[in-house]
Amino acid sequence: MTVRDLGTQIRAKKISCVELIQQTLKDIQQRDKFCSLITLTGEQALAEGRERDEELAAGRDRGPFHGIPIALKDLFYTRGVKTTAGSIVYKDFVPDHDAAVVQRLREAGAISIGKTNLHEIAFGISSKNPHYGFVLNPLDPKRLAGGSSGGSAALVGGKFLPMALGTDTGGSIRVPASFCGIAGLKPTYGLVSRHGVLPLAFSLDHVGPLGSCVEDCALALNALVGGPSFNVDYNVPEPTDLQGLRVGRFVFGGVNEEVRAAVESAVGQLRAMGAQLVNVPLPGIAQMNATARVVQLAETAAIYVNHTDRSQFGEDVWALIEQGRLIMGHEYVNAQRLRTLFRRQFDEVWKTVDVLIGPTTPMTAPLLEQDTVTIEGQDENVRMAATRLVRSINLLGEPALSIPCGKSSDGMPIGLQLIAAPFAEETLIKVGKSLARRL
Amino acid sequence: MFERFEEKARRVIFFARYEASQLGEHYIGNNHFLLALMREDKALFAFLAPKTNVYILADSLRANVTGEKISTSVDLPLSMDTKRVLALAAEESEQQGAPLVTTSHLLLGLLRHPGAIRDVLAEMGLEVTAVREALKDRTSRPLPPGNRQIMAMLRNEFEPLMQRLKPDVEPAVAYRLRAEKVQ
Repeated sequence: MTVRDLGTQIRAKKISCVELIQQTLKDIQQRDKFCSLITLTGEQALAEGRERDEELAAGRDRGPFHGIPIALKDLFYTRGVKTTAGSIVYKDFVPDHDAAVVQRLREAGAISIGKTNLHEIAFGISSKNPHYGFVLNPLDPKRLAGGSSGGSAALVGGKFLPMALGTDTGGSIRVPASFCGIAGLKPTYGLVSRHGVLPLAFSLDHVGPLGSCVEDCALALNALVGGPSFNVDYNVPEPTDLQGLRVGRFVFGGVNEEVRAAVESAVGQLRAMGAQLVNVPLPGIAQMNATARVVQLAETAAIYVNHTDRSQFGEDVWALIEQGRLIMGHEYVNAQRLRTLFRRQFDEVWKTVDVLIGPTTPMTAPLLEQDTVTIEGQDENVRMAATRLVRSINLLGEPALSIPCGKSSDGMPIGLQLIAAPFAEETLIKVGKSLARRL
Repeated sequence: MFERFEEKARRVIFFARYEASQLGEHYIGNNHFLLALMREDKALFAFLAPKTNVYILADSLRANVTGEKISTSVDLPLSMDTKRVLALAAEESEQQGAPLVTTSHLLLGLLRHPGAIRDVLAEMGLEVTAVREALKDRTSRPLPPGNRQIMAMLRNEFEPLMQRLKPDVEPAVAYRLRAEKVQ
């Protein structure tokens, strides 16, 4: 069920906003066995549902999200509702104001039903949270939902909601979107406010939507970026063809054969729609990833500098915090200088192509107990493998969209990543919509 | 008595005493013991019972106790039940040929001792035979490399990149600010 479908039902008076919230809460109570939520705010959601109904009766329609149930990763400040970051460090933290994006979504008419589970402090991709439970993949509960926005992805992938909000510091929107078979958009760095979002790494953190389809992400972006002077509509219509679109390949090496074949098939679809495939030299992804890791480890260690009690953290997260403490000052500064070089190289890339395409993750969702995956005969740590194709885009700040791209032989979804120049979100939406219809 | 206990397992005893004192109870019982175990080894419970919110469970275990706090300097004795759990934990360790008693053995001790806490654990879906098997699988996995080793591997990749930097390359933040100014 998409935002548009639900909105149509509300406006046709087939269901009221409050009934939709009741139905969603009941559905979650009955079917959510995936540990998706940390806090359910049912009463508040019902009260807001009644308000939205009164508004519609009085002729006030806030737009596509009017009365639509959504959920928020438990990293966003919510006034009067605890915000844990999936950590016990913040287990009693109740903000006195909403994050800017929470306020924007409410103004757009969306109704949050609760705060979603995540990888502890958003630092990891498994969402195997030692404090609030492991988030399970709604398509196969024996598998990872991905992370860190795992609970948001599980709620959308499990068809409880059409959209949930996430954050992405090294792939945390796109990886769970890929594993759960949904769309996930990481907008350009700085486009969406981070005010009132518990940080993980200041210069890499992005806020964005996970949606049941590309249009849901586009509509959410409209709401997130909106404001009095806002005059851009990211929900561009699906084009009849893609004549004139220049497409480059991102990374196709080091991925599972089924994943590669699915994404190659998508490239074929783009060409069939008139897009031109262009060979473009790219900076080494391994080098960008190494640089991004230095930045992330150092910035997260800076945030948690006063936390010395390891018993407050899961083992994996504590190890990463300790690794960050080993980064030296000159290494962090030089990582930011290398970022400048990569940024310049990508400015050149965007003179040659409009969009880059590649797999989001080199594999489908691993089993919960898997620590490693085997790709092209090589064993690789699950976290490193899952972030290998997405992390560098956070270093650059470019917008990136993950969409489902068929299924593997084990029945799990394959994710495809589209990347565009800074602030070219419309290009991603346009290409994403065209592809989604054909894949 | 605790010389065969690994550091984490010793901390469980310490925290169990703390829990008992905070709840104003004059002995260390199996409820305090479980609270301490959940506090000290969250990863163990996340592994075995991923759907259980240990915080909610801990709050519910503390909820029915209304005693006044006792100073932590008061030496609280172990209850007979808890002594039995420790003996069972030690037995588990010996049967597995382990050099030390670990938090996993303590949990198995709790699971083998009949009573209210075993019932709580059963509600979490934990049963002694299944847990024993699951833990065998967990402990047979290779240990991850240490932090310094991981950082050494990262530096192997990163240090050659730093060689590329000419003196005039500024950090990305400064580059961004300048780009914005030009616009």
